Parts: sequence; C-alpha cells; structure tokens
Amino acid sequence: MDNVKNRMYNYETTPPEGVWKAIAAELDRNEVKVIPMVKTRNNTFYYIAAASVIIILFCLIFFTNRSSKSANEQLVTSSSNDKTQSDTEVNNNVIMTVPIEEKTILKNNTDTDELLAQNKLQKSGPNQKQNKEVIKKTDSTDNNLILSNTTSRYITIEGPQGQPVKVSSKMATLIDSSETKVSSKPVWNKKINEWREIMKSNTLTPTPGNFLDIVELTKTLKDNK
Amino acid sequence: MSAISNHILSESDLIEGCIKGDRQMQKLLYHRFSPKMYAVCLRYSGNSEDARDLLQEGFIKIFKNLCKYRGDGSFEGWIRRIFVNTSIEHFRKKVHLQNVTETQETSIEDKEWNVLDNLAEKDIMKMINELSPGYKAVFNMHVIEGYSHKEIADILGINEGTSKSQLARAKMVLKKMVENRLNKTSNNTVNL
Repeated sequence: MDNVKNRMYNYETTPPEGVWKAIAAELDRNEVKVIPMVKTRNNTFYYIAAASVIIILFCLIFFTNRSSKSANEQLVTSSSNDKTQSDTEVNNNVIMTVPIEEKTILKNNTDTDELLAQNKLQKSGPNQKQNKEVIKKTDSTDNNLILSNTTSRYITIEGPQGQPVKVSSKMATLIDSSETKVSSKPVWNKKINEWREIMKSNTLTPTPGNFLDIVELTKTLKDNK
Repeated sequence: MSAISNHILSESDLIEGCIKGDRQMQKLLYHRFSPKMYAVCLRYSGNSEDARDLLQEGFIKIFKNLCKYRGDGSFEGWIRRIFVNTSIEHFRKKVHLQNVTETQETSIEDKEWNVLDNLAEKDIMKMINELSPGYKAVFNMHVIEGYSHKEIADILGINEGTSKSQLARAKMVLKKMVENRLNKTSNNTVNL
C-alpha cells in the first residue's frame, strides 16, 4: 500500500502548454490592479465639517447683526429715556413699552407719582424676553395719548380730535414736562405750552423739515391775533 | 532558461526571487513543480480541462502568498497543500458525501491492495478518476496525501465517521475495478 502511495505521490505528468503564459498574464493584470495610489477618503466627515462651519458662521453673523441693531436702538431710546427718567421724579406719566413694531403709549397723568420706562427695544432672542412691558397705571384725569413708534425717533401724539400728530421723542418729552406741576424753567414751560396748544390744534404732521415752518406759522397766527 | 539552471538554483533563491516578483524566477518555480502538481490536479479533477484550470489557479495563489511561507515544513509540501485545498474548494459542490456505517471500513485488508503494485501509475490514476467525487476526494486525501480523517472531516465539512466510511467504499470500488481488470487480462492471456 505504501508503495502505491509513494508512487502516486511522486507521480508527474507534463502539464499542457500555455498554462505558464496564462499565469504570467494573470500576474501582470494583478500587479497593475493592486496598487491603490490614493487612499479613498470618507467624504462624510468633510461634508459634516463644512456644514458645521457654515452653521457657525451663519449664527455668528446673525447674532452680531442683532446685537449691533439692538445697541443702536438702545442708543436711540436711551437719549429719550434719559430725559424721561430724569423727569419721572416730577412727571406723572405712564409709558407702555412694547416690543418692536408695536407702539409705546404714553399717558399723561397728573396724579401718578412715577414714570417707569424701561424702553428696551432689543428685538433679539434672549433680549426679547427682557424687553418687558413696564406699565404703571394711575388714575388719570386727562388722557392724552402719546403713541410712539419705537422703531423711529418720532412719536405720534393723539390730538384732541383724535387726529395723529407726529413729533420727535424729544419734543414729546418737552410736552410732558410742560404739564408738570413743578417746573424748573417757567420761560420754557410757557413756550412749550404755546407749542403744545398749537400742535394740538394743528392737523399738519410735523417732520424735521416742517417743524420750523410750524413755529413760523405760530408766529404768524399770533401776529394775526 | 534551461532545465539545468532550474536545478542549480536553490529553493531559497527561487523563493526569494519569486517574492520580489522576478518573472523569470516564477517561471523556474513553475517548471520545477508543475508536473507533480498537475498530477495532483488530475487526480482530484478527473479531466485535463479542470486540471489545467486548477494548475493555473494554484500557481497564482502560490505567487501571491509566497511571502507567507515561513520555511517550517518542506516547500513542496506547502505547495501541494495549496493545490489540494484549491482542488477541494473547486469540487466541493460536486462532493456529496453519504454516511455509511463505520464497520464497512474494515472489510478490506491492506494486503489485498498489493494487486495495485502491479499496475502502472497511469492505470491507477485512471481507476481513481473513475471513482465518484466523494470517494475520490477522501481516497486521495487519506491514502495518497496522508491526511488524517479528522483533517479530511475539517476540510470537507463532514464528520470523521463519514470520512472513514467514504474511504471504505472507495477501497471496495477500487478493489472491484482491479479484480475486473485482472480478470480481463487473464482472459486475454488464455485466449492468446
């Protein structure tokens, strides 16, 4: 049996021709195929990175714009607020401050003790919540509503006939101060009262351009009288 | 390159050259081992077409995996193992093994195989190729390549008992073939 095994184990037969050529060709093909020069990258990572960069940039721009806008608006309102707050001790006004694109209602009031005006005009996300309404109501005898558009520097005053009269916020402050009991400058108060009367009866809407015209008109009317 | 230079070159030089991708060395290695390996492929496949494909596939595997050869055993043994595995892999689908009782294995005595000694390798090869794929695979692996039944079971995905019974059946069939052949030759001599 071992004899058969050895004979068969070492048995040789001539292989057919052309096998080596086929092997060589196959090896050549494999050598060309094998070498990957550039490692394939997983592009998902790069897409995610690019998307996050875009999102971060967008957020940065968005919040920067918002904060700069709100800072500007604060600057605008702070000038009026400063005056208002300085007058609060002697003035009996109530200011309703509402978020942007709403109106602030100023109520002239003779009996109120305080004027609370936190005129925060920020519109942006977290600041928007802080932009609270501060309302302090008191008994009013004379309700002249001063409606101010907080987005602009001008305030719309409701005249005696209910007609809207647009004045600057500074002017409104002056008008308010004219109604106070205690006045530091009676000369100014007198003048302001005069302007106020004129403006109440005036149907013209003042603008920075025609404000002086109104003053001029006042003089003319006075002369006529 | 001539056959002489093929034999002058040592096995290690040949291996080194093949690992480097030297086509000439690869050709020498092919010429040195292809006759034996072709015989192996023929024994498992049973026809020259399949044997040719197996020879090609086996040598490509060898050239690709030559760097894995650590020199633990004989180089020829390593090559032969690759060819046997390639052949088995190639014909695994054809090999449908049937479980038979292990008692059948002992039915043939080793001394009865002495009749095969009188036959030429070519004739033995012919008879082996007449066996069914299952019998042929187990017979080749156990009797000629020297695999244990456990190894055969692992490679073919069968249990050891099945391997043993397949071998027993293969031996029985071969014995019948040899007897028939001997009867034919004796009849021919009588007629002469």
